[in-house]
Amino acid sequence: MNRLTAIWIGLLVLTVASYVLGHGMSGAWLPLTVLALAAVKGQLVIDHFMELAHAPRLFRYAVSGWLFGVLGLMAVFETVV
Amino acid sequence: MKYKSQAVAKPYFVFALILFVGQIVFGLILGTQYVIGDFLFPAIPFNVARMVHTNLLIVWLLFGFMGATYYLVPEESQRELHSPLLAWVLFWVFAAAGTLTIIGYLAVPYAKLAEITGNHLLPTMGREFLEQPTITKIGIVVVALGFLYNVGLTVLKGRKTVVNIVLMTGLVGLAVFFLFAFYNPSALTLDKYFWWWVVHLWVEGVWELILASILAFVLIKTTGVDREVIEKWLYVIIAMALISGIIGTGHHYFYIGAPEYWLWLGSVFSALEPLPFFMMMLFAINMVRRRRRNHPNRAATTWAIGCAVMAFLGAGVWGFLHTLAPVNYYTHGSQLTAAHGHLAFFGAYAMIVMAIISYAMPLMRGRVANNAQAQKLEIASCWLMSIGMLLITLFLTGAGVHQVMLQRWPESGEALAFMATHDALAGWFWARLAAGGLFTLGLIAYLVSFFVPQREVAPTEDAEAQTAAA
Amino acid sequence: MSASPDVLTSQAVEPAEAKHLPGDLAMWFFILVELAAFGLLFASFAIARFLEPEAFAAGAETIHAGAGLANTLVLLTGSFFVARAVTAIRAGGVERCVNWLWAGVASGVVYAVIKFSEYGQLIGDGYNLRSGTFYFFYFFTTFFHLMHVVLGMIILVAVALRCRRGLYSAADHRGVETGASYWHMVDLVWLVLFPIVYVLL
Ligand code: HEM
Ligand code: HEM
Ligand SMILES: [Fe+2]
Repeated sequence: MNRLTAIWIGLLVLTVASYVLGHGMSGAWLPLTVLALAAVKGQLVIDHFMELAHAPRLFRYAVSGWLFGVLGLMAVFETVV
Repeated sequence: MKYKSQAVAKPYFVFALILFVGQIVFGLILGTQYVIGDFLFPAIPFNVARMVHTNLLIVWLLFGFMGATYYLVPEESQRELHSPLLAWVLFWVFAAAGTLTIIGYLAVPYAKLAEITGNHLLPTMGREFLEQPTITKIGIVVVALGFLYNVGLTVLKGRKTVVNIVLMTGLVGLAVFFLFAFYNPSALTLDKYFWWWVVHLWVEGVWELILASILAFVLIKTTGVDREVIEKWLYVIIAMALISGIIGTGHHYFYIGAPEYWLWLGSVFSALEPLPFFMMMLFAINMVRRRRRNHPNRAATTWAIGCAVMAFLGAGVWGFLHTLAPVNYYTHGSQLTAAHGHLAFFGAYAMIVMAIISYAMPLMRGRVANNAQAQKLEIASCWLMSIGMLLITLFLTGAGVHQVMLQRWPESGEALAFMATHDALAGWFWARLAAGGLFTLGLIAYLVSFFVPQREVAPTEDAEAQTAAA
Repeated sequence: MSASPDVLTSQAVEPAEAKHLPGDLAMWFFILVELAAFGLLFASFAIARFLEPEAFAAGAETIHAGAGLANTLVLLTGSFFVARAVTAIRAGGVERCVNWLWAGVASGVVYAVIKFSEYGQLIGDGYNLRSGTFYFFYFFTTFFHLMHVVLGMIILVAVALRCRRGLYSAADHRGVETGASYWHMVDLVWLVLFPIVYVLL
């Protein structure tokens, strides 16, 4: 299977998984898990669709930094509230 | 100067500087009235002086933009201006309308002026920056239409460059948003709501396009950096300005009665507004560092860099200072607002006009650049005005913080009354007036620099080659 | 961004194979600003939810998470299509590139249809931009994102038309990469928006 196709299917699976988690289950670990799944998906998009894995590092750091910054902030609010 | 018709820029520049002098005279009057309440009363009340000060500012900047356009568009389009005659006619129309309006402000009470000019037929007067009688406003629209027609045709028929197109977009936007000056709903919230469509969407929207394109033109000419590089920067700056500035209007909707969600929208988007100004500063510094030639007009480069830096400080830093809703809750309409208004207007728009004047005026007077002596004086005047304005800003910032502490921060009865606060701030206002004096010295030096005798040749051996390359 | 003052001028000298930024540098600056805008919106959302936890929890009950899920799948698929378009043009497949691009545009259309039906239901239930802070954030953030999908579609259409006219090739396809990068950004933003707005609450 083509690398892009594999990543695409992986993303779809992770998306459904996070939806099922969020709507079917509960638990203190749940929000952080959902956010972690989003981080994994985002990084896959950044590295393979946006092709930043092979771009000048500055751009990869900036975009990944954005992803982890925003999700990290959500995680902080999740655990504080 | 490559095209004869570029010379119509000259009267626009000269008249702009005359009005600038008038603006500063009234600034000094205002500054004095701030500390000596009945200075010149009843001949020139504070509200009239303020109106003259701010209206002269807007009008001289418009003259400056028009002059810049008349100079820049033929050169970019590589053809003569469509109609230099029309440009001259509009110059006299606009100059006459402006002068009459100012005389009207000073000669008769404002209410009387409204009556004489038939304000009741289409009421548009009485709002800050838009105090002009309705007929003057109509005159401005006519001038703007003729102006856009004239330069628009030139652009359409000639070479299209990014600089040209961005400038034209900015100018059309300027005219379009001015139309909201005719919309004058009686509900105060609605009135303010659309008033900002003129004021904010001008200085933090379409004027930024004008600013960026003039800056780009001056930098292309003085640094010789590839047009392609400069155009790319221009795109980035414009994209940033529009994405932040349009919804950023919300930073004026916090407490005027508009829906609550503007607290979020205004804060989020205006927080991004410093970015285009920051990029402009990087851009200017970067282009000058990478310059391919040493243009003999060093003064023009000084103005261009100064403009980018001071605009970032005034708009970017001082704007950000009070743009978040929780901060603005305390600072709204305080001396901090005035501090920001002064530095931003001067840094961004006054200085860009002086930058293009500095570049174009010597060329229109038949030389690549002024001689060393004149340039030295001009550069010194740039520093003097900039330092004067920075001091004005710092003192007003001090006054603003002090004002908030005395008048707005206290939760209950111990908050000081308005006039008592004003008295308590007198020290700051004296200091501001002194800084205004320094600024005025700079302005005088600037004007004198135009009259330094030019017997010796401009400081370059290959002046001819330089003009050819430019 | 402050760390890259001369990046705009240094692109030409980068070694091509070692480090490659897909698409035009100006586009990447634009993408970074867009991300910043969305980032601030998300941060504001977090703060607002912190201030009004009950209202946000109640509001979340009323929105249609299924539509959010469907749209996530649609956007990911669209991103995949557009990534394939880039691979295709790199191999010189002009026609395949055009087809993948149209597939990407189609995914945008599906997304918009789902989005509007979602809005239709909510508005039918009596909610709008002014129904409270939660609904403001929900409507504004998703609509602002929708506008970006629309802009992305316009860019993809332009690229597809130019591609069909033979303006891109295996040797020169910077324009395709530029459009694709913007499209992936829109996808990336949604990947963050989805859990925050549709799943977590
Ligand atoms: C060159 C660009 C700019 C100019 C010429 C300018 C000028 C002004 C002026 C004259 C006012 C006072 C308006 C009034 O009479 O009430 C004002 C208000 C304001 N400006 Fe700017 N500004 C610029 C850019 C910015 C930027 C970039 C920001 C934000 C980052 C900003 C934030 C504000 C805010 C929040 C107010 C309202 C202050 C209050 O509530 O009293 N400005 N600006
Ligand atoms: C000698 C120098 C100057 C002095 C002493 C001065 C003084 C003043 C005063 C006292 C006000 C009225 C503030 C109020 O309503 O409480 C004012 C308003 C204003 N001045 Fe100046 N000014 C000077 C130069 C300038 C320059 C060079 C510019 C711009 C290039 C400028 C732009 C403005 C603007 C935009 C306002 C309206 C501010 C607002 O609405 O917040 N002034 N000035
Ligand atoms: Fe504003």
